[in-house]
Amino acid sequence: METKRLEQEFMAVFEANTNALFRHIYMRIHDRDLAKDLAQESFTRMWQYISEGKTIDNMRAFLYRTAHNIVIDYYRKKKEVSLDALNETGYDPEGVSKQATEAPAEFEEFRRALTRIPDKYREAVTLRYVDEMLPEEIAGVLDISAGAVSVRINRGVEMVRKELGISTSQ
Amino acid sequence: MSDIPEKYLAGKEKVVLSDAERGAMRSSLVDYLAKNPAVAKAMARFAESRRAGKPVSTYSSYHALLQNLIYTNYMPIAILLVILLGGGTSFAAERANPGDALYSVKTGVNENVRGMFTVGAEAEANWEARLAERRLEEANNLEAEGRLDADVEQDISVEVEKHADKSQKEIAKLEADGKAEAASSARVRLSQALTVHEDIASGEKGDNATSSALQVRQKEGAITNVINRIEVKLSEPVKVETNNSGSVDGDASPNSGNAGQSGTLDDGSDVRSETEVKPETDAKSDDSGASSGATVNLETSGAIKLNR
Repeated sequence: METKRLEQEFMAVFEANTNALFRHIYMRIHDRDLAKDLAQESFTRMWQYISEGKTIDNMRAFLYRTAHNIVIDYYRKKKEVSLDALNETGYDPEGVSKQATEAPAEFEEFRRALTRIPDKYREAVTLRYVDEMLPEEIAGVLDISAGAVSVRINRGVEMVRKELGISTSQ
Repeated sequence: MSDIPEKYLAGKEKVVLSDAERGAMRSSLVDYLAKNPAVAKAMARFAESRRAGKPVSTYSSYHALLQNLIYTNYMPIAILLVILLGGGTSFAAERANPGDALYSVKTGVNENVRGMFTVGAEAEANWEARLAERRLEEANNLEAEGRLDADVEQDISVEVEKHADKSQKEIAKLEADGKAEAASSARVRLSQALTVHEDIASGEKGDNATSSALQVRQKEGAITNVINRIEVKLSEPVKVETNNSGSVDGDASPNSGNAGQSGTLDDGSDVRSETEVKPETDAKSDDSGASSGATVNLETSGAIKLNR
């Protein structure tokens, strides 16, 4: 019966985090269908880990950590095709967005600004402002120090603000 | 500090999956869970034991389940069961390696029980060194059987480092208490613990062992990295705040440094010559008499006697 309970706990984690994880991955790769697949892959890997009897201290952190690895794998596999190249060859985040989400125009503007900064900073900014994690939590996800996280967030924010045309004095 | 204006972040919660997409994902996961069932274990309780800083290993699900049983509320029951069932299980478990059914008994019961009877910083330091040595022996056994995969190697290297760190902490306590000779002895003991496995792996002692030992080291990537790291720590100068036995303090670092180097580069004969010197230093020490673990010589260590 422990197995059943474990499955129930896992499904509760799924229910509580699906949308947030999907949103996080979507903000990272800007491809809705792919974000859906990678979110599912994150849950599958998490279950693999749990089902082998391994322990997880912090479910949310583990889930995002798994997603972090999966997105990195994705970028490695797609190394030859940069995001810029995708944009140049007709990738249309706005079109996808209109089709699949109802986010306000400003948020879409923010998301498109994110597409133009390196993923390292995009990830930090997304974790901080979209997933609303504290630098300490992000440090656990990225396996770096909280100080390094703060540096990444600050640089990322500066880049995004620049992309949004916001001056530093504002 | 610069920030993202709130207007750009509002409405982010609208980026969600549709009900149909969520439902499809849920069904897919439920299917996956059915095809890949978990072992019966209480995840929350297990996570709790880990948060409490208790050792958790991940060699296999069966092992993890036993670990969970042992490290939570059932430790006394587990020990009682082992006693009631006779020493046979416990004895048999001594030869278990990671992945074996009895390995949890070895690490969770046998070693815990022995650890309970270890009192004093020096005895603790030696016991932790012995535990590091036992993990390395297991790595060698698995390597010999062709069962040492990267995951197990990584787990073992973590355990080795953990025990070596604990040993070093106890050594630091000894140094802080002014027990320089005992600290020096314990350092040598730890250094030996990290080298002995090479002799075991090579199956011989003496000059011929060196090349085999080096081969073993090359194979054990993760473990060797850990050992190298520990050896570097061991070879660092000892800082002793005490004002007595200054000459002994001065000797402590070179002794341990040499021991570490001999472990890295030399054959077993160097290690043995190191141990033969130690009873004399023990005899001179006033502090080390308090603990049976004060003996550094591998052949006379209580831990070794119990094992071999």
